[in-house]
Amino acid sequence: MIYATAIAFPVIALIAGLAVLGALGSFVRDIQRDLREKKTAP
Amino acid sequence: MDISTLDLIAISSYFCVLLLLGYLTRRNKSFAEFALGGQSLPALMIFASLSSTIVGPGFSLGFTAKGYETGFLFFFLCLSYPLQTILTGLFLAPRLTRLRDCATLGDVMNKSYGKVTQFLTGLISVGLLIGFTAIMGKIGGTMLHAITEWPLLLCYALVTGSTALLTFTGGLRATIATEAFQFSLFSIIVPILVLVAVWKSPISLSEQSATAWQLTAAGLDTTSGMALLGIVVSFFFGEMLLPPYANRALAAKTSKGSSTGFVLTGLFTIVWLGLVGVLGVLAHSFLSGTVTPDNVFVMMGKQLLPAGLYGLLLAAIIAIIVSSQESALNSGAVAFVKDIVSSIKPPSEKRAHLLGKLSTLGIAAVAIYVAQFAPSIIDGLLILYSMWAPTIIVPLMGALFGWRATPTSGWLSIVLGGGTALLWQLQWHTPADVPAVLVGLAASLIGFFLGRLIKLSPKTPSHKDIKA
Repeated sequence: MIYATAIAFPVIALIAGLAVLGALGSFVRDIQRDLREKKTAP
Repeated sequence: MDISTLDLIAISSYFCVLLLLGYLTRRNKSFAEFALGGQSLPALMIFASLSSTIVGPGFSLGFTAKGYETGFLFFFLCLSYPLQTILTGLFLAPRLTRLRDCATLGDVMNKSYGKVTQFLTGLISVGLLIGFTAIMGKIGGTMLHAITEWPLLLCYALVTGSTALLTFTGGLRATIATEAFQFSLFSIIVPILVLVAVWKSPISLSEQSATAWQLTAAGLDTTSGMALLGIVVSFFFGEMLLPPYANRALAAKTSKGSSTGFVLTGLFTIVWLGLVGVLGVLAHSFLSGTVTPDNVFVMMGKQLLPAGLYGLLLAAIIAIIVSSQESALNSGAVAFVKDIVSSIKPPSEKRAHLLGKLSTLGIAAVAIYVAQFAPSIIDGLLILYSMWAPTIIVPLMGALFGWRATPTSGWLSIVLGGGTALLWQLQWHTPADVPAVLVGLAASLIGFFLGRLIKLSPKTPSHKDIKA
């Protein structure tokens, strides 16, 4: 139990944090593209 | 609180990134965009946003304190929370996502039971979210006061006000983007703190394990069976499909994405509760016995992390508070416009958009005011939490699963469930320690079926209606 909570869980959480950080970049780019399209739409 | 220049730079950098994200995602031109972000949220963003809303001060600083006092006991008891999130992801969230014309739980209720039930749902949602925002603002404001020694009311206003400005300008998509960043921050820094604690621990992990089980056994001995059941039940039902969570399901791009987001959140919550709980156990090797359990989380950071990283940990704590507050403000504003104002007189699209933004500021202002009366607020919040499931869950299930119902079923279920839960706690003082949430749920179920007997609606909802 202690090995799971003190070693495995922190490593899993770290990976999740880094994965979301990576995905955040493309999410913000998508929003900006969407905003640009709406701005230039007739 | 002593903090170095490097720590201050780290905290300032966090606010700069937050402002940049707010600037990049700030514009929205309609109420639908403000409320649901164009219903285009991918699974990973739903996961990050839900997780950062769920991980508030209670599930971080509070849970480390519980780990310090009772080892793994609360970790096991609170597993009912992630279990509920996973079940919601598998069975409820995809059904909510299919309702593309709904922005709130009140909208869902309106489809099956009419305006009265929508109005009641809106009142309960907004009341709960004001209380939630006030508590988060109070915790954040107290921390700011400890660092700066500025007046408390000013600190409450600065914390809640800055969150409100971020939510006010950007709506749901800006909220999701900043929450994803906040999720990344605390999911990276806090695990690093746990790993550093393991690395620097003066005793072996096997000895730490022995300490953890001793604390767990001691905690178990001092808690009655009914109290243990109460904790499990409260964690299972207490936050089930709260407005910010339901809002994420309604704003998802696809049903599958919504389901995946909720299931991942449930799994992450297990991981998170385990690691913040064990931080409390590890603290016994580093901190003296005189430390207050609520301070263990911050004290461990101060003792183990170098300058700069400690600042990032403080920023992560701010992120934990702000992200929960952002969600509450956004969904509170949407519920106010859609469920309360629209039930009385539907505004035009343009007016609804403006009203949504203004009510974000209005809810924040009320929350700043009530934050001053903290002890009664905490009691009030606990009452609101124990009233959420007895009022909303039964009629919501009825609407989502197409149970045969009448308009009376909706409001009678809410009134009987909420009224019974309230009386059970405040008037009868929880007889035999039976959790109010269970009694309230039973009353809500009785109200639902009584409403059906009183008068059957000429057009009862079916699965086909819900799927449409």
